[in-house]
Amino acid sequence: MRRFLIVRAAQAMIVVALVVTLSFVLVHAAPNDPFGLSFDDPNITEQVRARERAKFGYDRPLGEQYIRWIGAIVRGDLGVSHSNGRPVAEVLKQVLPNTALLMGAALFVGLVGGVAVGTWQAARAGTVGDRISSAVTMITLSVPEFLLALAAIGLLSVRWHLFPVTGMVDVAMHDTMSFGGRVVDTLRHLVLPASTLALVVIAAVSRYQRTAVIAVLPDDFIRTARATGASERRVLWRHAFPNSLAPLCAIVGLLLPALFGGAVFVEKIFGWPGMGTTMVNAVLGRDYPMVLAGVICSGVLVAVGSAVADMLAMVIDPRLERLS
Amino acid sequence: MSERRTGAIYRAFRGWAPRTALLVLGLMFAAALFAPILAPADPNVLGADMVTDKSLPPSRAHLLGTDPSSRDVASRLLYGARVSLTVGLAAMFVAVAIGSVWGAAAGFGGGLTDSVLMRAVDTLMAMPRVLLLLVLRATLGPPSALGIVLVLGCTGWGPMSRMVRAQVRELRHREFVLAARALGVSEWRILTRHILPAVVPLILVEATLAFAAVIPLEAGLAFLDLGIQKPLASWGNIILDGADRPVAAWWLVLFPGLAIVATVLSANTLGDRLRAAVDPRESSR
Repeated sequence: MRRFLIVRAAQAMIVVALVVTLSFVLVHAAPNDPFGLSFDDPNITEQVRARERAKFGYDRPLGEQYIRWIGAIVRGDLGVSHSNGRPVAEVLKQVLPNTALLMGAALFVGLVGGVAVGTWQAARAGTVGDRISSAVTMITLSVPEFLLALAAIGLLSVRWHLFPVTGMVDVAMHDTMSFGGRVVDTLRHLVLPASTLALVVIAAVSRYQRTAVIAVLPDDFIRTARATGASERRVLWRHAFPNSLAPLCAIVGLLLPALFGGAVFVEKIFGWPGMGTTMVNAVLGRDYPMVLAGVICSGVLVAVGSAVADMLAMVIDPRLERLS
Repeated sequence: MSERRTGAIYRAFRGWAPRTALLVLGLMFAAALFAPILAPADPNVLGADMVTDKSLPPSRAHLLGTDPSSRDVASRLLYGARVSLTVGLAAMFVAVAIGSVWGAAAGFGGGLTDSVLMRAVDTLMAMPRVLLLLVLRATLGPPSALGIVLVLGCTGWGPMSRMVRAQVRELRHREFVLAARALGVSEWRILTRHILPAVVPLILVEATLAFAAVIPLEAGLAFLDLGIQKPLASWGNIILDGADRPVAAWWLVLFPGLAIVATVLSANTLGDRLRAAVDPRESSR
């Protein structure tokens, strides 16, 4: 067990190191740099471009840039954003909690909902209820997040005025509210974007959960439980369900990157001030330090997240160690 | 072997769901192919008045309405199908090519080769695909259709390589491979003539699913204005025109949205059925 944990942690660290290196290579191997031709303001002369390049070190050999950059990152210095002149770390400190709130809420609702739906379906596999709900999850998975978000915003916010249309808080009123009022205000803004993301998670998780529960239902211990006179509900939730949790952890690890990608669109459409919005703007403005920081953050988050998920799976089901 | 496999493929198409899916995909590709004949108007002709917003709801003259430049949405949808489906198919082929070669090399090579190649796949799959797309789009300059195909293809081969690797590893120790090796068949020939043919059905499944994954991404990029650029129509950039008022200009979101969902759902359904038929481990349905 201990050996597995160490190996898995080392693997995660290797992946993080590769993510960092790969993103640096991707950004710097491109023929353009932030002060290149894309910065097409006729008032900026070649001297100014060269001076700015020198200031940020883009004129040095690539290897030197890489070593300097790695050294800075290890010290926790992510550089200065080209587009607004603020330290990247400061921007991250501001936007990361917002994304964490959005993704955390979506993941929590999505996991609970997905497990409930999937287990419910597995208990009545093949019936009309199972078929209809399975078709619904399949359709949900085939709708791109940005369409779901547009539909939600169009119908629930614009048409029926049930939720605020954009942003994370009511910009005009938020600062005048009491603490409780602010929490309610943020929650009201959170409901739609988080539900949009959660819907996709529910659909994805329920499909795996359904298969996982169906896989344990023919096992001997289920028959034993039935033989002791346990009710069907008890057999399902106290015996079958806990044994489907280990594969579920692995699924969460796989879902994280997709969730991050979905968050980019959802944040953009709902005007949520998080990593996704920041990344899209950084990409459009060729703000390399910001782009790199965003990729590193998401890479670290995903690598650590899936390592933790694998370790949890192992803790839940120690039999997995023999397989690995 | 081949008889059993055709039987499996046939089984995948039983029932109305996969048949409808096949029909829908067929209709989509037919619509794309015959767009010049089917389209009621020129998809790129601009209205006379460029200043005021000319997007009009569906009417008898324009069955699916017009966009802000008073272009016919039905025609743009048909021509957009050409762009979106071609980009999707081409990106799928790129992903299939890289993924199957990479996975076969890892699975057949084993040992250190396998570790190195698969850590690279872990890395690729640890980066959210949308972020990778954004970074590549930022650094590679103005978007061209070919650039978008390469960017989509090069970020989408991870799952394919994992599946092919797992299958090749499993087959490597089967009796028929041992028999071939005992007969003195070269390793290269074992891989290309004995193992890879057995992996083809699996590649077919993964290709279908890769296509289903690429279509929304292409539309998403276009939606962020980082994909196919106007005036060339794609399903994503038609939606972009209506994104800021999804209720007032619902026809700009609904119709291309339906085209995307119908295509993706059909491809997903087919992929699912083919996987169930090809992969004996998934016999639960």
